[in-house]
Amino acid sequence: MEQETRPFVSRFSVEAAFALFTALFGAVIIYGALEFNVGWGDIGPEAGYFPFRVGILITLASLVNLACVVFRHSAPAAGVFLTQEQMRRVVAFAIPVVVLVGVTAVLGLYVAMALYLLFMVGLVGRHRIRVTIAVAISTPVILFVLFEYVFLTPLLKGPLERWLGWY
Amino acid sequence: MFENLPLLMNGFAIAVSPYNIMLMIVGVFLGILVGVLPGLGAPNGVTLLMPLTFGMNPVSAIILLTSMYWGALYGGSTTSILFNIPGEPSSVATTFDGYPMAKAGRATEALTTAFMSSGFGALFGVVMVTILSSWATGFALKFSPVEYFSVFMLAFGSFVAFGGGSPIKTVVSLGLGLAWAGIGMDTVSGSMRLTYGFTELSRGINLLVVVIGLYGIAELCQTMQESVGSMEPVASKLSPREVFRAALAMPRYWIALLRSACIGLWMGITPGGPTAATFMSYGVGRRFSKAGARFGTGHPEGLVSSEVADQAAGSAAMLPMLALGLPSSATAAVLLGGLMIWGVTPGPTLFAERPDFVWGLIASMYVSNLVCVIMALTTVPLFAAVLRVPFSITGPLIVIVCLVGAWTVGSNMTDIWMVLAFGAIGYFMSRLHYPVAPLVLAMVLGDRTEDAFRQSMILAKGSIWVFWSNPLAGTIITVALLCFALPGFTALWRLASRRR
Repeated sequence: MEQETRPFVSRFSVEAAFALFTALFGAVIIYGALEFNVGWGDIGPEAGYFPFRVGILITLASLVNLACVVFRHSAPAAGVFLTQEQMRRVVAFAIPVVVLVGVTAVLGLYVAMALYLLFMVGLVGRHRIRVTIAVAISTPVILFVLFEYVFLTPLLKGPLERWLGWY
Repeated sequence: MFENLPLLMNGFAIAVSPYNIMLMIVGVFLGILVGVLPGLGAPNGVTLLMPLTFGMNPVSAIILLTSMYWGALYGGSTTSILFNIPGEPSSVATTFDGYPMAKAGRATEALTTAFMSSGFGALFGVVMVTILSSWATGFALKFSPVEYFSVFMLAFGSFVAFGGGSPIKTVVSLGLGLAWAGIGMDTVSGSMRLTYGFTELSRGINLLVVVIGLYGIAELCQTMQESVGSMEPVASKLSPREVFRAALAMPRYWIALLRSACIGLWMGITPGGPTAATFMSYGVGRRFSKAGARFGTGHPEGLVSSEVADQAAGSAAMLPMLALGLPSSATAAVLLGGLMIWGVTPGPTLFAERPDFVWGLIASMYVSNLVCVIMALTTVPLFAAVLRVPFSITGPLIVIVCLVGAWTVGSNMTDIWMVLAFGAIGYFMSRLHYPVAPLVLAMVLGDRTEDAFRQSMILAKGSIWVFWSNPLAGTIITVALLCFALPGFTALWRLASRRR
């Protein structure tokens, strides 16, 4: 039970970190806009004009946000952002998704999704082996028929499909 | 007022074909499904289906996608009432009275009341769209880049002033959307902007990819964070007799029906959107209705207030979307992106150039909402069963649907990686209460806002006062600026009154 509620990261630090992130993003936009004329040309505003001001807007608004978090430390900024248990759940969900995308790039979508479903339904979800295999096999097969033949929108394929002669 | 009648009849002739009716049924069904499932919602659902419509004729495509939108609005109500989980942001207010009713054993009454109210709201919205369309196109024809820029600023400003939540966070959201929209080719000079040497960025960032990340992956993360096993509804069977009785009781709430419909209509036409409409309507109802004090304890009138406004706003939002290219909800913004891909340019001339498209869509709204009410009522047991499937199965399946959707946008691996990145950003945004809808709106309108501004400046030879050169533009831009300033004023006022 203690595990359930033990804080992992405070809301204050995440608020501040995200405000810094958006401020930095604004700065990157300003930097990108500076490659062009950010002022007024012969025919009105130049290419950099708009992005430059949007970048400034983001940076300023982010800094105000940051100031609100740091100085006020107000009610919404106090408290817990994620408990350890929540953090564990989010990571347990997010890492397989990242791996799925990585595997997709190599093996194609169909094979990757079958492996992902085997892992998520069988190992993480602890469902019965029959259920797991049914889900992991039927999903790519159904999507294959739908996308390759009904919608005529081929999905990314990998070595297995090439070996089987589907391109 | 009646000059549109022949056009509408023409629209019915186009929309009511067996093929289109089938699309409506498919669309509504998928819509209810995405509305019911956590992690999928109307904006995301429409986005995922969009690439499959690129080859369809535009009338059928928009019928399919709008039907899905209506279906999602209904599906959102189902989960709100039976599970106390708002499937859509706009059905949060539905949980206030819907869930207590269902818990008290009045689930059938609550669902019927919600669906009938939705049907009424939608009908009211589409009738008003029919009546107001000539006026709206006439109004929109007066628009030059100056007015367009003003009205875009008003759309942004209204989010800052009335969006709820922190105004400064709304500004950051808007800024992020505008910046992402600016990546890629500059439409005026043709130069590549903000690509930082990455060739992948020269195509720009696709709106659909952003929406799948922000609404799909991010929401899944949120759902995963709380431990969800399978969900048990408070009830999942409807008795026909009770449905009938609840339907007959509807006229009793005629004041609430009309009041909420008018609020929804107003919020749908002005860029307020359905979510704001439901909260406003619920708030107004609680304050001014005789039954107001019992709102929140499971009173049907509270349910009526939010549901009618939700659908009326959703339907009415089609009018500014078609006549001005101005979406007032995230889903409308996605649909607008679709219009451009199908080669349909929104704007006042659309009504003259493509009457088949416009009136086909409007006519389909009459029919598809009827389909919605029937399907929503008959599929309650089915979708209650879908939600009983453990989330450890549906969750991974939704992930796959999102990734497949991301691939179909442009058959590009970069898009799939980007969905992950936007998913992470979206997770932090929604956990930290940064509103996502303004970001989507800003992304859709970003390029056009910039173009309108630059064209206005060229017209006016660089004078900013051009925005006050005529009463129409002057009024709109002034109201827009007031919207941006409003949170500042209220903050100062609060500070001053605290000092005293």
